[in-house]
Amino acid sequence: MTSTVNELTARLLSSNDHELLSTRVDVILVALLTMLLVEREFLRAYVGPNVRLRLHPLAIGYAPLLVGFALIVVVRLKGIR
Amino acid sequence: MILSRGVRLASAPGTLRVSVLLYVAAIGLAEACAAFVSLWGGLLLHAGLILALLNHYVLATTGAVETSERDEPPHPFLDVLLVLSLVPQLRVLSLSMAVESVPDRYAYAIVGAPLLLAAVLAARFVTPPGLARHLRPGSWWQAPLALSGLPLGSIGYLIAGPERSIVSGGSARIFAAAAVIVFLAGLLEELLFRGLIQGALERLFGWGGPLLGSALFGFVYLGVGAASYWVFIAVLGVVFASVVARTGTVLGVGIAHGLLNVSVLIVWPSVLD
Repeated sequence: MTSTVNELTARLLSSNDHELLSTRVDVILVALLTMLLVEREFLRAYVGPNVRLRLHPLAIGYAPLLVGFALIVVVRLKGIR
Repeated sequence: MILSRGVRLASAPGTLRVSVLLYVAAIGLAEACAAFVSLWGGLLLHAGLILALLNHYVLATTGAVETSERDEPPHPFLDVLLVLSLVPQLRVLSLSMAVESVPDRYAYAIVGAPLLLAAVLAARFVTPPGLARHLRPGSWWQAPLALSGLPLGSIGYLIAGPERSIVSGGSARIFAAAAVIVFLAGLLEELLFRGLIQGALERLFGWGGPLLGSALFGFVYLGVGAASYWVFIAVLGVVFASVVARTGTVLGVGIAHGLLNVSVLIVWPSVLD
């Protein structure tokens, strides 16, 4: 009933092919995170006049994904135990 | 055109505004796709939008020419690109953090925590910077405005409330879940949509900013399930947007939104169970 936890997340969890959907979602998350981190390194290598201006806002993309990735790993590991 | 402090880029203001409108439409398309066509397709579109918005920001500053006008305020277009990326980020986090073994009461926290980080980071780069400025106490009537979340929640529950509370057990557990929902679902959403996004859009579009912000808010609620609840939330979004445009603070509407969620998800289902 909120924008973050709603019918979409319920549908994802209750679908018959939950495993497949969940894996696809995780693949997108990892691919997006990898692309942003690679881009960050490319930009870091490029020493332009505004490199700092360009580099820092990319953190809006990758930092929350990194935190989310770490949280998912913790939850999954807890589930395995 | 001045794009950032000391950085000049030759782009027509009309072109910048059209590109923002296209991004808003693309976000709406991605949300509609996730809600009505394919979760997977919607998620792919959102991931692409994060890359597009952040790379547009990078490219907008790549061809820029440094100017001597160091005190000139940054152009809102750059701010808009950054804050718009928070919307697809919300959906990517919401879907990727959906784990079977995590109960709903924790789901709000594990989606909200990285989203809060994204909001804090975005707030560092927009002008004027910081999230705290959106949380000024304002006038005395922010208090009744905040408390209006409880009756609004009753209406929301009557429209499409869940049969069961998302939390059961002791009062400590219920209080903790309510606090998480108020801060990481209600207040955070208002900070994102009415604080950061509406603020940046207002600087670029004037009075059209709250309308575009409300449209984005409506888009992210497309996946809420019941159409009547979506209409209720969308109308409430427009009202909250106009209140924030007048008062300049999201504190009242943020707490109201949080209390509305608590009322719909915990209070009324518990009372009537």
